[in-house]
Amino acid sequence: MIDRLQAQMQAMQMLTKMQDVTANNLANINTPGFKGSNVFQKMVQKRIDGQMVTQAVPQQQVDMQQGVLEPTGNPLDFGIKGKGFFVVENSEGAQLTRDGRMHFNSNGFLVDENGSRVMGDFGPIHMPEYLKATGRGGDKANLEVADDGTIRLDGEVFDRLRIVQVKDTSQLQRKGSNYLSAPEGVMTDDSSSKIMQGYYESSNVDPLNEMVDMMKTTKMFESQQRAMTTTDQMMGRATQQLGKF
Amino acid sequence: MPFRALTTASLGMSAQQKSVDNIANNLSNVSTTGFKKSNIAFQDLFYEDIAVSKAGASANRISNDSPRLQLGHGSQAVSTIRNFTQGSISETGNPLDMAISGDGFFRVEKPDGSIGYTRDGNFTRDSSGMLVNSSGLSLAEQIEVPMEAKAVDISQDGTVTALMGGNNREIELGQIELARFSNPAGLKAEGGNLFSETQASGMPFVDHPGSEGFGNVRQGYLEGSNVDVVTEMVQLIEAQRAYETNSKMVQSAEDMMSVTNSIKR
Repeated sequence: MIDRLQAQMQAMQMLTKMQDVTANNLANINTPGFKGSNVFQKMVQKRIDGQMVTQAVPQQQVDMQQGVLEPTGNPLDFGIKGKGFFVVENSEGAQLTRDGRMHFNSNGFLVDENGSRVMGDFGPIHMPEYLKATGRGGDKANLEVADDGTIRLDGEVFDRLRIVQVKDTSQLQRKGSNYLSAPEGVMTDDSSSKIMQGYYESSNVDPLNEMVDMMKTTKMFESQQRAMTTTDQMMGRATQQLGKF
Repeated sequence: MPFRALTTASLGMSAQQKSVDNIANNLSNVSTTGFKKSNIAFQDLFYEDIAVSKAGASANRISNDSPRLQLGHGSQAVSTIRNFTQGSISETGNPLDMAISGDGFFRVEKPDGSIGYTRDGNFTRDSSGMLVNSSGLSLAEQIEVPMEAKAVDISQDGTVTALMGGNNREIELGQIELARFSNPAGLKAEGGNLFSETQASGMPFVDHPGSEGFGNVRQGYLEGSNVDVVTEMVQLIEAQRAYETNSKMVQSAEDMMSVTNSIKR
Protein backbone atom coordinates (compact mmCIF):
# COMPACT_ATOMS: atom_id res chain seq x y z
CA MET A 1 0.00 0.00 0.00
CA ILE A 2 2.73 2.41 0.94
CA ASP A 3 4.51 1.41 -2.28
CA ARG A 4 1.48 2.51 -4.23
CA LEU A 5 1.55 5.93 -2.68
CA GLN A 6 5.22 6.16 -3.56
CA ALA A 7 4.58 5.28 -7.21
CA GLN A 8 1.78 7.79 -7.46
CA MET A 9 3.95 10.49 -5.97
CA GLN A 10 6.72 9.75 -8.49
CA ALA A 11 4.22 9.95 -11.33
CA MET A 12 3.07 13.36 -10.13
CA GLN A 13 6.63 14.61 -9.87
CA MET A 14 7.27 13.50 -13.40
CA LEU A 15 4.14 15.16 -14.71
CA THR A 16 5.30 18.38 -13.08
CA LYS A 17 8.58 18.16 -14.99
CA MET A 18 6.70 17.50 -18.22
CA GLN A 19 4.64 20.59 -17.59
CA ASP A 20 7.87 22.55 -17.04
CA VAL A 21 9.13 21.47 -20.45
CA THR A 22 5.83 22.49 -22.10
CA ALA A 23 6.02 25.84 -20.29
CA ASN A 24 9.50 26.43 -21.71
CA ASN A 25 8.33 25.53 -25.22
CA LEU A 26 5.44 27.97 -24.93
CA ALA A 27 7.65 30.72 -23.51
CA ASN A 28 9.84 30.39 -26.62
CA ILE A 29 7.01 30.44 -29.12
CA ASN A 30 8.47 33.58 -30.75
CA THR A 31 12.19 32.86 -30.25
CA PRO A 32 13.92 32.66 -33.65
CA GLY A 33 15.62 29.35 -34.39
CA PHE A 34 14.20 27.75 -31.25
CA LYS A 35 13.65 24.00 -31.35
CA GLY A 36 11.02 22.63 -29.00
CA SER A 37 11.53 19.71 -26.63
CA ASN A 38 9.59 16.50 -26.58
CA VAL A 39 9.35 14.50 -23.39
CA PHE A 40 8.40 10.88 -23.39
CA GLN A 41 8.53 8.06 -20.89
CA LYS A 42 10.61 4.97 -21.14
CA MET A 43 9.48 1.90 -19.23
CA VAL A 44 12.33 0.33 -17.33
CA GLN A 45 12.03 -2.94 -15.45
CA LYS A 46 14.33 -3.89 -12.69
CA ARG A 47 14.54 -6.49 -10.02
CA ILE A 48 14.35 -5.39 -6.40
CA ASP A 49 14.50 -8.11 -3.76
CA GLY A 50 13.46 -10.73 -6.28
CA GLN A 51 10.45 -8.71 -7.44
CA MET A 52 10.15 -7.16 -10.87
CA VAL A 53 9.43 -3.45 -10.55
CA THR A 54 8.45 -1.29 -13.49
CA GLN A 55 9.55 2.27 -13.52
CA ALA A 56 8.93 5.07 -16.00
CA VAL A 57 11.98 7.17 -16.79
CA PRO A 58 11.40 10.48 -18.55
CA GLN A 59 13.46 11.23 -21.64
CA GLN A 60 13.83 14.37 -23.60
CA GLN A 61 14.50 14.96 -27.23
CA VAL A 62 15.13 18.07 -29.29
CA ASP A 63 12.39 18.32 -31.89
CA MET A 64 14.29 19.05 -35.11
CA GLN A 65 11.23 19.82 -37.17
CA GLN A 66 11.73 22.73 -39.58
CA GLY A 67 10.48 26.13 -38.41
CA VAL A 68 8.86 28.58 -40.83
CA LEU A 69 11.41 30.68 -42.76
CA GLU A 70 10.42 34.33 -42.45
CA PRO A 71 11.64 36.66 -45.20
CA THR A 72 13.36 39.84 -44.01
CA GLY A 73 15.29 40.99 -47.07
CA ASN A 74 18.34 41.63 -44.90
CA PRO A 75 21.38 40.08 -46.66
CA LEU A 76 22.88 39.09 -43.30
CA ASP A 77 19.88 37.05 -42.12
CA PHE A 78 20.25 33.35 -42.80
CA GLY A 79 17.83 30.49 -42.40
CA ILE A 80 18.63 26.79 -42.66
CA LYS A 81 16.40 24.46 -44.60
CA GLY A 82 17.24 21.01 -43.31
CA LYS A 83 18.75 19.58 -40.16
CA GLY A 84 22.03 21.51 -39.98
CA PHE A 85 23.32 24.10 -37.50
CA PHE A 86 25.49 27.19 -37.78
CA VAL A 87 28.66 26.95 -35.72
CA VAL A 88 29.61 29.99 -33.62
CA GLU A 89 32.39 30.38 -31.11
CA ASN A 90 32.13 32.00 -27.69
CA SER A 91 34.24 31.80 -24.56
CA GLU A 92 32.88 28.32 -23.84
CA GLY A 93 33.92 26.92 -27.20
CA ALA A 94 31.92 25.95 -30.26
CA GLN A 95 28.15 26.37 -30.05
CA LEU A 96 25.45 25.32 -32.45
CA THR A 97 22.58 27.60 -33.37
CA ARG A 98 19.73 27.90 -35.84
CA ASP A 99 19.31 31.61 -35.18
CA GLY A 100 20.90 33.12 -38.27
CA ARG A 101 20.48 36.84 -37.68
CA MET A 102 24.04 38.04 -38.06
CA HIS A 103 26.00 41.20 -38.69
CA PHE A 104 29.58 42.37 -39.09
CA ASN A 105 31.15 43.93 -36.01
CA SER A 106 33.45 46.91 -36.26
CA ASN A 107 36.51 44.61 -36.58
CA GLY A 108 35.07 42.93 -39.65
CA PHE A 109 34.09 39.63 -38.04
CA LEU A 110 30.72 38.10 -38.82
CA VAL A 111 28.97 37.78 -35.46
CA ASP A 112 25.55 36.72 -34.21
CA GLU A 113 23.13 38.44 -31.81
CA ASN A 114 25.36 37.62 -28.82
CA GLY A 115 28.52 38.86 -30.49
CA SER A 116 29.92 35.33 -30.93
CA ARG A 117 32.00 34.81 -34.05
CA VAL A 118 30.43 32.75 -36.81
CA MET A 119 32.65 29.97 -38.06
CA GLY A 120 33.46 29.32 -41.68
CA ASP A 121 35.55 26.62 -43.29
CA PHE A 122 38.77 28.34 -42.18
CA GLY A 123 37.86 29.49 -38.66
CA PRO A 124 35.92 32.66 -37.80
CA ILE A 125 34.57 34.49 -40.84
CA HIS A 126 36.57 37.70 -41.17
CA MET A 127 35.76 40.07 -44.01
CA PRO A 128 36.99 43.63 -43.38
CA GLU A 129 36.59 44.06 -47.15
CA TYR A 130 32.82 44.07 -46.65
CA LEU A 131 33.00 46.93 -44.16
CA LYS A 132 35.23 48.91 -46.49
CA ALA A 133 32.87 48.26 -49.35
CA THR A 134 29.74 49.23 -47.40
CA GLY A 135 31.49 52.21 -45.85
CA ARG A 136 32.46 53.69 -49.18
CA GLY A 137 30.57 52.31 -52.10
CA GLY A 138 27.78 50.56 -50.23
CA ASP A 139 25.43 49.93 -53.09
CA LYS A 140 28.18 48.14 -54.93
CA ALA A 141 29.01 45.73 -52.13
CA ASN A 142 26.98 42.73 -53.08
CA LEU A 143 27.21 39.98 -50.48
CA GLU A 144 25.77 36.76 -51.78
CA VAL A 145 25.48 33.50 -49.92
CA ALA A 146 24.71 30.48 -52.04
CA ASP A 147 22.53 27.70 -50.69
CA ASP A 148 25.61 25.61 -49.85
CA GLY A 149 26.88 28.46 -47.65
CA THR A 150 29.53 29.85 -50.04
CA ILE A 151 29.98 33.58 -49.36
CA ARG A 152 30.70 35.77 -52.36
CA LEU A 153 31.44 39.49 -52.24
CA ASP A 154 30.94 41.09 -55.64
CA GLY A 155 31.25 37.68 -57.27
CA GLU A 156 34.52 36.75 -55.54
CA VAL A 157 34.45 33.70 -53.25
CA PHE A 158 35.56 34.57 -49.70
CA ASP A 159 34.54 31.81 -47.34
CA ARG A 160 31.86 29.27 -46.62
CA LEU A 161 29.52 29.12 -43.62
CA ARG A 162 30.26 26.01 -41.62
CA ILE A 163 27.14 23.89 -41.26
CA VAL A 164 27.17 20.76 -39.15
CA GLN A 165 24.65 18.07 -38.41
CA VAL A 166 24.13 16.00 -35.31
CA LYS A 167 22.60 12.68 -36.32
CA ASP A 168 21.86 11.51 -32.80
CA THR A 169 19.75 14.38 -31.45
CA SER A 170 19.87 12.93 -27.94
CA GLN A 171 23.50 14.14 -27.82
CA LEU A 172 22.38 17.76 -28.20
CA GLN A 173 22.58 19.78 -25.04
CA ARG A 174 20.72 23.05 -24.61
CA LYS A 175 22.77 26.04 -23.54
CA GLY A 176 20.31 28.93 -23.60
CA SER A 177 20.82 32.13 -25.65
CA ASN A 178 19.63 30.13 -28.68
CA TYR A 179 22.65 27.82 -28.43
CA LEU A 180 22.96 24.08 -28.31
CA SER A 181 26.13 22.08 -28.03
CA ALA A 182 27.22 18.59 -28.86
CA PRO A 183 30.39 16.58 -28.25
CA GLU A 184 33.01 17.08 -31.00
CA GLY A 185 32.78 13.49 -32.19
CA VAL A 186 29.12 13.43 -33.16
CA MET A 187 29.18 16.58 -35.32
CA THR A 188 29.47 15.86 -39.00
CA ASP A 189 29.77 18.36 -41.84
CA ASP A 190 26.46 18.82 -43.50
CA SER A 191 26.04 19.29 -47.20
CA SER A 192 22.35 18.42 -47.47
CA SER A 193 21.01 21.52 -45.66
CA LYS A 194 20.27 24.61 -47.73
CA ILE A 195 21.14 28.14 -46.61
CA MET A 196 18.48 30.71 -47.35
CA GLN A 197 19.84 34.26 -47.46
CA GLY A 198 17.43 37.03 -46.44
CA TYR A 199 15.38 34.74 -44.23
CA TYR A 200 15.42 33.74 -40.60
CA GLU A 201 13.83 30.69 -39.08
CA SER A 202 11.07 31.20 -36.56
CA SER A 203 10.45 28.94 -33.58
CA ASN A 204 9.15 25.46 -34.46
CA VAL A 205 6.89 25.32 -31.40
CA ASP A 206 3.34 24.52 -32.43
CA PRO A 207 0.97 26.25 -29.97
CA LEU A 208 -1.79 23.74 -30.72
CA ASN A 209 0.32 20.72 -29.77
CA GLU A 210 1.64 22.43 -26.69
CA MET A 211 -1.82 23.45 -25.49
CA VAL A 212 -3.02 19.87 -25.88
CA ASP A 213 0.07 18.62 -24.00
CA MET A 214 -0.58 21.14 -21.30
CA MET A 215 -4.21 20.08 -20.82
CA LYS A 216 -3.27 16.41 -20.97
CA THR A 217 -0.60 16.81 -18.31
CA THR A 218 -2.93 18.77 -16.05
CA LYS A 219 -5.65 16.11 -16.35
CA MET A 220 -3.20 13.28 -15.79
CA PHE A 221 -1.92 15.11 -12.75
CA GLU A 222 -5.48 15.38 -11.43
CA SER A 223 -6.23 11.70 -11.96
CA GLN A 224 -3.02 10.70 -10.20
CA GLN A 225 -4.13 12.85 -7.31
CA ARG A 226 -7.54 11.07 -7.27
CA ALA A 227 -5.78 7.72 -7.25
CA MET A 228 -3.64 8.91 -4.40
CA THR A 229 -6.70 10.02 -2.43
CA THR A 230 -8.34 6.64 -3.06
CA THR A 231 -5.25 4.80 -1.85
CA ASP A 232 -5.28 7.00 1.21
CA GLN A 233 -8.96 6.20 1.84
CA MET A 234 -8.34 2.48 1.43
CA MET A 235 -5.49 2.65 3.86
CA GLY A 236 -7.63 4.58 6.28
CA ARG A 237 -10.45 2.03 6.04
CA ALA A 238 -8.08 -0.90 6.42
CA THR A 239 -6.61 0.60 9.55
CA GLN A 240 -10.10 1.29 10.93
CA GLN A 241 -11.55 -2.13 10.13
CA LEU A 242 -8.55 -4.07 11.27
CA GLY A 243 -8.43 -2.00 14.43
CA LYS A 244 -11.78 -3.48 15.48
CA PHE A 245 -10.33 -6.91 15.97
CA MET B 1 6.05 25.67 -3.90
CA PRO B 2 8.66 25.20 -6.57
CA PHE B 3 6.56 24.99 -9.70
CA ARG B 4 8.97 25.98 -12.43
CA ALA B 5 6.23 26.06 -15.07
CA LEU B 6 4.72 29.04 -13.30
CA THR B 7 7.85 31.19 -13.43
CA THR B 8 8.77 29.95 -16.91
CA ALA B 9 5.38 30.99 -18.25
CA SER B 10 5.53 34.33 -16.46
CA LEU B 11 8.95 35.03 -18.03
CA GLY B 12 7.43 34.13 -21.39
CA MET B 13 4.66 36.61 -20.70
CA SER B 14 7.04 39.40 -19.76
CA ALA B 15 9.11 38.79 -22.93
CA GLN B 16 5.96 39.04 -25.05
CA GLN B 17 4.97 42.12 -23.09
CA LYS B 18 8.20 43.79 -24.21
CA SER B 19 7.36 42.88 -27.77
CA VAL B 20 3.93 44.50 -27.39
CA ASP B 21 5.55 47.61 -25.87
CA ASN B 22 7.92 47.82 -28.81
CA ILE B 23 5.11 47.47 -31.34
CA ALA B 24 3.19 50.18 -29.48
CA ASN B 25 6.22 52.45 -29.85
CA ASN B 26 6.45 51.70 -33.58
CA LEU B 27 2.75 52.35 -34.04
CA SER B 28 2.82 55.60 -32.09
CA ASN B 29 5.61 56.78 -34.42
CA VAL B 30 3.76 55.91 -37.58
CA SER B 31 3.84 59.54 -38.69
CA THR B 32 7.10 60.66 -37.04
CA THR B 33 9.45 62.18 -39.61
CA GLY B 34 12.50 60.01 -40.23
CA PHE B 35 11.47 57.35 -37.69
CA LYS B 36 12.95 53.87 -38.09
CA LYS B 37 11.01 50.94 -36.72
CA SER B 38 12.56 48.30 -34.47
CA ASN B 39 11.97 44.67 -33.64
CA ILE B 40 12.66 42.72 -30.47
CA ALA B 41 15.02 39.74 -30.58
CA PHE B 42 14.18 36.82 -28.31
CA GLN B 43 16.39 34.09 -26.91
CA ASP B 44 15.83 31.11 -24.67
CA LEU B 45 17.12 31.36 -21.10
CA PHE B 46 19.57 28.96 -19.50
CA TYR B 47 18.77 25.33 -18.79
CA GLU B 48 18.99 23.21 -15.70
CA ASP B 49 19.98 19.58 -15.97
CA ILE B 50 17.74 17.49 -13.79
CA ALA B 51 19.13 14.18 -12.66
CA VAL B 52 16.22 11.79 -12.74
CA SER B 53 16.52 8.65 -10.62
CA LYS B 54 19.20 6.67 -12.37
CA ALA B 55 18.52 3.49 -10.47
CA GLY B 56 16.13 2.04 -13.03
CA ALA B 57 18.30 2.94 -15.94
CA SER B 58 21.56 1.44 -14.81
CA ALA B 59 19.98 -1.93 -14.02
CA ASN B 60 19.04 -2.34 -17.65
CA ARG B 61 22.15 -0.70 -19.05
CA ILE B 62 20.54 2.11 -20.99
CA SER B 63 23.68 3.99 -19.98
CA ASN B 64 24.37 7.62 -20.75
CA ASP B 65 21.58 8.24 -23.24
CA SER B 66 18.84 7.62 -20.72
CA PRO B 67 17.69 9.97 -18.08
CA ARG B 68 18.77 13.43 -19.06
CA LEU B 69 16.12 16.03 -18.60
CA GLN B 70 16.92 19.65 -19.33
CA LEU B 71 14.41 22.09 -17.97
CA GLY B 72 14.46 25.55 -19.47
CA HIS B 73 13.75 28.74 -17.63
CA GLY B 74 11.76 30.51 -20.33
CA SER B 75 12.63 33.23 -22.79
CA GLN B 76 13.98 36.74 -22.67
CA ALA B 77 13.99 39.79 -24.91
CA VAL B 78 17.68 40.44 -25.53
CA SER B 79 17.89 43.36 -27.92
CA THR B 80 16.05 45.62 -30.28
CA ILE B 81 17.01 45.42 -33.92
CA ARG B 82 16.39 48.64 -35.79
CA ASN B 83 15.30 48.49 -39.37
CA PHE B 84 16.83 51.23 -41.55
CA THR B 85 14.84 50.75 -44.72
CA GLN B 86 13.82 53.90 -46.56
CA GLY B 87 10.62 55.62 -45.46
CA SER B 88 8.31 57.19 -48.01
CA ILE B 89 9.35 60.67 -49.17
CA SER B 90 6.66 63.30 -49.47
CA GLU B 91 6.69 66.87 -50.68
CA THR B 92 6.23 69.66 -48.16
CA GLY B 93 7.12 72.73 -50.21
CA ASN B 94 9.13 74.15 -47.33
CA PRO B 95 12.54 75.10 -48.85
CA LEU B 96 14.46 74.15 -45.71
CA ASP B 97 12.99 70.65 -45.44
CA MET B 98 15.36 67.95 -46.62
CA ALA B 99 14.96 64.23 -47.16
CA ILE B 100 17.75 61.73 -47.78
CA SER B 101 16.98 59.46 -50.66
CA GLY B 102 19.28 56.53 -50.02
CA ASP B 103 21.78 55.80 -47.31
CA GLY B 104 23.17 58.27 -44.75
CA PHE B 105 22.34 60.48 -41.79
CA PHE B 106 22.36 64.23 -41.21
CA ARG B 107 24.83 65.26 -38.54
CA VAL B 108 23.63 67.69 -35.86
CA GLU B 109 25.52 69.10 -32.93
CA LYS B 110 24.13 68.18 -29.54
CA PRO B 111 24.31 70.61 -26.57
CA ASP B 112 27.26 68.66 -25.11
CA GLY B 113 29.23 69.19 -28.33
CA SER B 114 29.00 65.61 -29.58
CA ILE B 115 27.44 64.69 -32.89
CA GLY B 116 23.97 63.17 -33.21
CA TYR B 117 22.74 61.43 -36.34
CA THR B 118 19.26 61.80 -37.74
CA ARG B 119 17.15 61.10 -40.81
CA ASP B 120 14.74 63.86 -39.83
CA GLY B 121 15.44 66.73 -42.25
CA ASN B 122 12.93 69.16 -40.83
CA PHE B 123 15.26 72.19 -40.59
CA THR B 124 14.45 75.85 -39.91
CA ARG B 125 16.37 79.06 -39.33
CA ASP B 126 16.85 80.20 -35.76
CA SER B 127 16.99 83.85 -34.67
CA SER B 128 20.63 84.19 -35.75
CA GLY B 129 20.03 82.54 -39.12
CA MET B 130 21.63 79.16 -38.32
CA LEU B 131 20.05 76.05 -39.85
CA VAL B 132 18.65 74.10 -36.89
CA ASN B 133 16.43 71.04 -36.65
CA SER B 134 13.07 70.98 -34.91
CA SER B 135 14.72 70.52 -31.49
CA GLY B 136 16.95 73.56 -32.07
CA LEU B 137 20.18 71.60 -32.73
CA SER B 138 22.33 73.12 -35.46
CA LEU B 139 23.80 71.16 -38.35
CA ALA B 140 27.38 70.04 -37.71
CA GLU B 141 28.41 72.05 -40.80
CA GLN B 142 27.20 75.25 -39.06
CA ILE B 143 25.41 76.73 -42.06
CA GLU B 144 24.23 80.26 -41.50
CA VAL B 145 21.63 81.81 -43.79
CA PRO B 146 21.98 85.61 -43.92
CA MET B 147 18.93 87.71 -43.12
CA GLU B 148 18.94 89.35 -46.55
CA ALA B 149 18.63 86.00 -48.34
CA LYS B 150 15.57 85.91 -50.57
CA ALA B 151 15.70 82.23 -51.35
CA VAL B 152 17.77 79.22 -50.34
CA ASP B 153 18.66 76.46 -52.73
CA ILE B 154 19.98 73.06 -51.66
CA SER B 155 21.36 70.91 -54.42
CA GLN B 156 21.28 67.10 -54.43
CA ASP B 157 24.92 66.96 -53.34
CA GLY B 158 24.13 69.12 -50.30
CA THR B 159 25.51 72.46 -51.50
CA VAL B 160 23.50 75.30 -49.92
CA THR B 161 23.34 78.55 -51.88
CA ALA B 162 21.39 81.71 -51.06
CA LEU B 163 19.99 84.30 -53.44
CA MET B 164 20.68 87.67 -51.86
CA GLY B 165 17.88 90.21 -51.79
CA GLY B 166 19.72 93.42 -52.68
CA ASN B 167 21.68 92.55 -55.83
CA ASN B 168 20.26 89.15 -56.83
CA ARG B 169 23.70 87.64 -56.28
CA GLU B 170 24.08 83.97 -55.45
CA ILE B 171 26.46 83.07 -52.66
CA GLU B 172 27.47 79.64 -51.47
CA LEU B 173 26.81 79.06 -47.75
CA GLY B 174 28.36 75.63 -47.33
CA GLN B 175 27.86 71.97 -48.08
CA ILE B 176 25.90 69.53 -45.98
CA GLU B 177 27.68 66.24 -45.34
CA LEU B 178 26.16 62.88 -44.47
CA ALA B 179 27.41 60.07 -42.26
CA ARG B 180 27.16 56.35 -42.91
CA PHE B 181 27.84 53.38 -40.66
CA SER B 182 29.04 49.89 -41.45
CA ASN B 183 26.46 48.49 -39.04
CA PRO B 184 23.63 51.03 -38.63
CA ALA B 185 21.65 48.45 -36.62
CA GLY B 186 24.18 49.04 -33.84
CA LEU B 187 23.29 52.74 -33.49
CA LYS B 188 21.74 53.82 -30.23
CA ALA B 189 18.40 55.59 -30.38
CA GLU B 190 18.34 58.63 -28.16
CA GLY B 191 14.84 59.93 -28.72
CA GLY B 192 14.15 63.20 -30.46
CA ASN B 193 14.77 61.33 -33.76
CA LEU B 194 18.48 61.19 -32.90
CA PHE B 195 20.92 58.30 -32.99
CA SER B 196 24.40 58.18 -31.54
CA GLU B 197 27.35 56.01 -32.53
CA THR B 198 28.34 53.01 -30.44
CA GLN B 199 31.07 50.41 -30.54
CA ALA B 200 28.68 48.13 -32.41
CA SER B 201 27.85 50.66 -35.12
CA GLY B 202 31.50 51.50 -35.76
CA MET B 203 32.93 54.88 -36.68
CA PRO B 204 30.98 57.06 -39.11
CA PHE B 205 32.12 57.55 -42.69
CA VAL B 206 31.46 61.16 -43.63
CA ASP B 207 31.14 62.40 -47.18
CA HIS B 208 28.96 64.69 -49.23
CA PRO B 209 25.59 63.46 -50.49
CA GLY B 210 25.60 61.70 -53.82
CA SER B 211 29.12 60.28 -53.50
CA GLU B 212 29.47 56.52 -53.82
CA GLY B 213 27.12 54.71 -51.47
CA PHE B 214 25.60 57.87 -50.05
CA GLY B 215 22.06 59.04 -50.71
CA ASN B 216 21.01 62.31 -52.30
CA VAL B 217 19.50 65.26 -50.48
CA ARG B 218 16.08 66.32 -51.76
CA GLN B 219 15.08 69.87 -50.94
CA GLY B 220 11.43 70.51 -50.09
CA TYR B 221 10.72 66.91 -49.12
CA LEU B 222 10.55 65.03 -45.83
CA GLU B 223 11.07 61.32 -45.20
CA GLY B 224 8.15 59.71 -43.42
CA SER B 225 8.30 56.90 -40.89
CA ASN B 226 9.11 53.42 -42.25
CA VAL B 227 6.53 51.80 -39.97
CA ASP B 228 4.09 49.65 -41.89
CA VAL B 229 0.84 49.54 -39.95
CA VAL B 230 -0.30 46.19 -41.40
CA THR B 231 2.95 44.40 -40.48
CA GLU B 232 2.85 45.90 -37.01
CA MET B 233 -0.75 44.80 -36.55
CA VAL B 234 0.11 41.23 -37.56
CA GLN B 235 3.04 41.24 -35.14
CA LEU B 236 0.79 42.64 -32.44
CA ILE B 237 -1.65 39.77 -32.93
CA GLU B 238 1.23 37.26 -32.77
CA ALA B 239 2.62 38.77 -29.58
CA GLN B 240 -0.79 39.01 -27.98
CA ARG B 241 -1.62 35.37 -28.75
CA ALA B 242 1.73 34.19 -27.47
CA TYR B 243 1.08 36.18 -24.32
CA GLU B 244 -2.31 34.51 -24.00
CA THR B 245 -0.91 30.99 -24.45
CA ASN B 246 1.63 31.66 -21.73
CA SER B 247 -1.08 32.96 -19.43
CA LYS B 248 -2.95 29.65 -19.94
CA MET B 249 0.17 27.88 -18.74
CA VAL B 250 0.15 30.03 -15.61
CA GLN B 251 -3.44 28.92 -15.09
CA SER B 252 -2.59 25.24 -15.59
CA ALA B 253 0.33 25.43 -13.19
CA GLU B 254 -1.97 27.07 -10.69
CA ASP B 255 -4.52 24.26 -11.19
CA MET B 256 -1.83 21.67 -10.57
CA MET B 257 -0.75 23.44 -7.43
CA SER B 258 -4.29 23.45 -6.09
CA VAL B 259 -4.61 19.74 -6.97
CA THR B 260 -1.43 19.10 -5.03
CA ASN B 261 -2.86 20.89 -2.05
CA SER B 262 -6.01 18.79 -2.15
CA ILE B 263 -4.05 15.53 -1.77
CA LYS B 264 -4.37 15.95 1.97
CA ARG B 265 -8.01 16.11 2.83
